[in-house]
Amino acid sequence: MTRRRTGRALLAGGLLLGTLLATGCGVRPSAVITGRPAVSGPAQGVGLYLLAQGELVLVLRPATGDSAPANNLALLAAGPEVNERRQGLTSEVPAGLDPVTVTSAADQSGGLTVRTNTAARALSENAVDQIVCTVADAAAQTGFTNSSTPVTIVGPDGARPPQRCPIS
Amino acid sequence: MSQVLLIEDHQTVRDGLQLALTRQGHTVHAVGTGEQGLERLRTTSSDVVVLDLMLPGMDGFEVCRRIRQLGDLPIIMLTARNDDMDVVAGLEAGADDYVVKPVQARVLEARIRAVLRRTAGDSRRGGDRTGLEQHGALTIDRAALVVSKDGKPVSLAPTELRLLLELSHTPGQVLSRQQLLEAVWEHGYLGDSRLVDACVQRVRAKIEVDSSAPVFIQTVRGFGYRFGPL
Amino acid sequence: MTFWRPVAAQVSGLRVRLLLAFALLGITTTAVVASGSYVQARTVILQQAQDAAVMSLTDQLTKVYPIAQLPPTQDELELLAQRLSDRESFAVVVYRDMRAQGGSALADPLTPELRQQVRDGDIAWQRVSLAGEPALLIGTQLALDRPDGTSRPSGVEVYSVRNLVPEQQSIDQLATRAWLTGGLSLLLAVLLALLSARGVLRPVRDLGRAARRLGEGDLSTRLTVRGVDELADVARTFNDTAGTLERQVGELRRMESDARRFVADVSHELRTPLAAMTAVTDVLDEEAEHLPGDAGRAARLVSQETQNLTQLVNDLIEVSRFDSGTARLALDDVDVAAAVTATLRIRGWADRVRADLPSGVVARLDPRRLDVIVANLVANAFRHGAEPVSVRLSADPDWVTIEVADQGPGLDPEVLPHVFDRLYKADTARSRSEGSGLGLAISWENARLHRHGERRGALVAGNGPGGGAVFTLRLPRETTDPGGAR
Repeated sequence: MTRRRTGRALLAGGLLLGTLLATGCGVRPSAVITGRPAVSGPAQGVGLYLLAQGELVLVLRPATGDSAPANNLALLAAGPEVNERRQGLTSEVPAGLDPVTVTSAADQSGGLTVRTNTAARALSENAVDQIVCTVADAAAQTGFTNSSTPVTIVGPDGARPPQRCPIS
Repeated sequence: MSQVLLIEDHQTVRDGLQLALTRQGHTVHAVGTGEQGLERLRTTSSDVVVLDLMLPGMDGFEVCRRIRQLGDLPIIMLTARNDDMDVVAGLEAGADDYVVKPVQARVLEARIRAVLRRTAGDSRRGGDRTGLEQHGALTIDRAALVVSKDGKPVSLAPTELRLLLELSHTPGQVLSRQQLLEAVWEHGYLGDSRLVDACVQRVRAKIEVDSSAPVFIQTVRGFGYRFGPL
Repeated sequence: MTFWRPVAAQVSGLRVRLLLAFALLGITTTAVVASGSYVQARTVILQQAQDAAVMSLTDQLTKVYPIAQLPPTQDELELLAQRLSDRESFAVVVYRDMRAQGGSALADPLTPELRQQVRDGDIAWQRVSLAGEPALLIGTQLALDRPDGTSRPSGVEVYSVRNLVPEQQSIDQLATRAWLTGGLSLLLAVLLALLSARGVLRPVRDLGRAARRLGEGDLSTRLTVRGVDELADVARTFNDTAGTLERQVGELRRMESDARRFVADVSHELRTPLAAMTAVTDVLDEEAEHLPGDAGRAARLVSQETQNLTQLVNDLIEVSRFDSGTARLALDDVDVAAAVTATLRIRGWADRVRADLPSGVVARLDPRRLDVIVANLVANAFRHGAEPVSVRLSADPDWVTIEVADQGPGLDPEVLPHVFDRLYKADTARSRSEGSGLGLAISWENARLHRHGERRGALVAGNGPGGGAVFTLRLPRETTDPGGAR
């Protein structure tokens, strides 16, 4: 009986010691710990969306004039600048996109409409994303819509279904 | 024959001993207390005292001491209890011998005779020598039975004298207590050796300069006593 | 086996068990408390360090804004990385496949999972081990505000790599302190255990000692009752028991001593009339010869029985002196052969006894008591055994041995254990006149009275090879008198 009791005590002690060792000493590597959303701050200039290896990339250029959505689309249609091209940025937006008009629906939820003379249906998916995101951003900059507003591109060949920018 | 003074408080014991001793031819005067006994000794002479130790009033030991102060009258103690302390105390008080009650008349009678023989100066041992013996400061006259120290006579009771004569007869030779008991007390073999020890103490007190460092009567441990060597 | 039992008892003893229990308790408590607080403190330290690092990084990053140009040039990235690096940390700035690193020449410290999390738009951090040292990785993307409150990713990722060695050091210090605390508290537990074990064990030990003393016959043993715990109850019970025992034994002893004193008193009272009667037995004996017929016989009978009665009373008194412990030895150096011869001669047995008594055996003993013993043994042999009776003396440096043997039927095995009992009669029909019935008991006591150190005289009864009874007396050759009579 004494032996059994002693055994139990030893077992308890052993467990405790094991726990202690498992907890370990010092600073041990950890898994990734997630905190608040990323640091965010104001941006200056004109925001355009170009492509890098098929991905949408935000490009900021110093503001030259009016930062209206249509102007931004005109800059987008002009393609990457030299230094941007050097960094591997491309654009699938055809240069014939310009001139465009951007109108917003009468009601708040109606979204934006981009009218162009280029065939809207012939635009690649990437080009559509570039246009939608750039217009939405520009419209949001001006303050009369938010960035997730659906955008409808209308060309002489008809309208594309409204789309939202994939970058939230 | 002899005058016996019997001091015994119990009437029946007194009567019995008186009867028996008288039949042996002694003249027995019996009294019941120590005071009466001492009074009797003052007026009448006796040859021997038979003294009970357990007495009303003055006890036997005190009576014994008083008799010793009066002279060298032989004393035989009657002890009711065979109590060692009583025996030793009685012997130290000066008694010559003792018997334990109940005692048969012939036993007591034999002791009385032995004591009386000592008093009578029956110096068998000393008989073959005459004249004075000089042992240092001690002078022993075996014929006259006188012992003197530095010229002054020493008063010795009969038993004490007999013991000294016995020891000084063979100077330097050890005598065992049993030998001395047989020779002096005539006790046969079963005597009480304390008789010898007590008597030696008394003799030493009278003849030695320092009783605790005796010169004349020396103790030989494990054997007995020895006279000298000086 | 006999060796292991005490060891086992020691190990499983109360003290060891208490000690173990306390130590275990101490260790457990200390371990739980120390490790708990250690872990907590470590968490707090790390969290504070991490929060501070994250805070400092975000603070610094707010100064980067507003961002005016994207994509950034390599120079801009390098510049940003440099700006974000300081003594404690260095920064890594990544934009797509561009990469700038401030400070340290370490290879890419970033983990894929961290990068994934950062790319997903959150501030994220992770502790890793860099070149054996702990480090904290913090990462965030630089997002751009939109007026509507949402933000868009700029593609620039900023990572700060921060060394955690100072934190590691404080945590190590904590651990050391925890170990130290644990050790001290263990020591304290053991000390406490020892103290409390002593506290518990002392009453137990006292109880054991008291019980042993009680068992050894010290009935006055009592315990001091301390406190009101169970041990105090036990002590109280012990005291009650000892008290009852002492009372009862005292009562028994008192009754026994009363009885003995009564015998002694009666014997003493009988002495005076006996003394008177004894004094005149000689007269009776003499007169009996002259008395006619019955009167003469009656007188002889009275005389004879008076002597027997005297013997009985003397024996009773002797026995009562042994009982009361007042018997004393009168020691002398005795030639044993001569003493035995005298005993036989005085009683007229010299011719009837075959004596084998080598001379020269001297012993220190009480001659009167030796005489009593030998006389009793020889008389007993004549009475109950058959002649020839023999007395044999032998001696060695330590002992004197006297054997008295007869040629009778010997002692019955049933009688043997009771031979020395007082007034014991093997044959109930035997007449009283043959002896007081105390002779052998007195002889036995007389023999035991002689002692020298560990050696003690003894009288033993048995049967010889020839069938007769043999009584063996053994006395130490050198006896010392405990009473110091001489």
